[in-house]
Amino acid sequence: MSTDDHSRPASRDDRRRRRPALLATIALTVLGRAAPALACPVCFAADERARASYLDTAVLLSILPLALFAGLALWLWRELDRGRSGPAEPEVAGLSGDRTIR
Amino acid sequence: MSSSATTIVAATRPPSAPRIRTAVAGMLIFVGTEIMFFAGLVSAFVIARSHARGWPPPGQPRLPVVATALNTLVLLASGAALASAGRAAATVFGRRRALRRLTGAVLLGAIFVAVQGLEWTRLLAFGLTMRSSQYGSFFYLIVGAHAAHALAAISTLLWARQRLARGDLTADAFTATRVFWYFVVGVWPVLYTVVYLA
Repeated sequence: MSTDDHSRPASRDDRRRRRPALLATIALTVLGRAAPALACPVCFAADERARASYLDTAVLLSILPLALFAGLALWLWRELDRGRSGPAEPEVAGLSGDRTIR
Repeated sequence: MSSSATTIVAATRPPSAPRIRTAVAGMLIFVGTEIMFFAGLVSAFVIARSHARGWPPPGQPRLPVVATALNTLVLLASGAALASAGRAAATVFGRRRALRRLTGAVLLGAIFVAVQGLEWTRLLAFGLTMRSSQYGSFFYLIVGAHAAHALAAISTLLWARQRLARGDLTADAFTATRVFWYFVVGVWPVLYTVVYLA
């Protein structure tokens, strides 16, 4: 009695092995049929001035939060450092603490 | 158990232990968010202007550059007066001097807002409205947002002035109030340059 593997129905393991190939085929088909969305104005705005504006604002909005966090961290560090160095001078005592201004 | 441990820690803590001024820290964080808010507005304005064929658009009035420059000086003088009030408050028995300078800062700030309001009425009469063009929309949005902040900051300065006159304004609260006004003063030259000059 000959045993022909090809005539057997695909087992669960076989189907699992073929799944990545199937998914890749579907993904390639979808990508191949997709039209460009042109959602980002930088991609289709050929105007050099507009591109420069996008670049400038992207740089500004990327660096500014980092600078703000760095500034706050520096302020906290100086605040703690000032607390460690002892009480303030009488002339500048009004600048710190929760005492009222006289 | 835990409360007794806390008591021991509090009792053994040295008097010069590090202390964060929470009012000032909170105001600094708030000002940080406000800076990002104005950065977003300025970015949107710059991008909209870069796509426009002409700026200001044809048929729209020009902004009063010289009058606003003089008004900017008034606002900067207000910031300087407040800085001077802060220095006076830091000295022993400097409350009265601080009060006078704080009053000057409030008056100068109020003059700035009033002149801005007069400019707006003239621009509206010339046909620059929120709906007349992108130019008008951005102008009133950005400058209006700043004016709203200026009014809020003047209110806090008036509150601080009242407390200072009564003698129950804390140094931390005064510093936090000043930080907010410094932000209003400091962001204006940037807005003026971007909206009026560029």
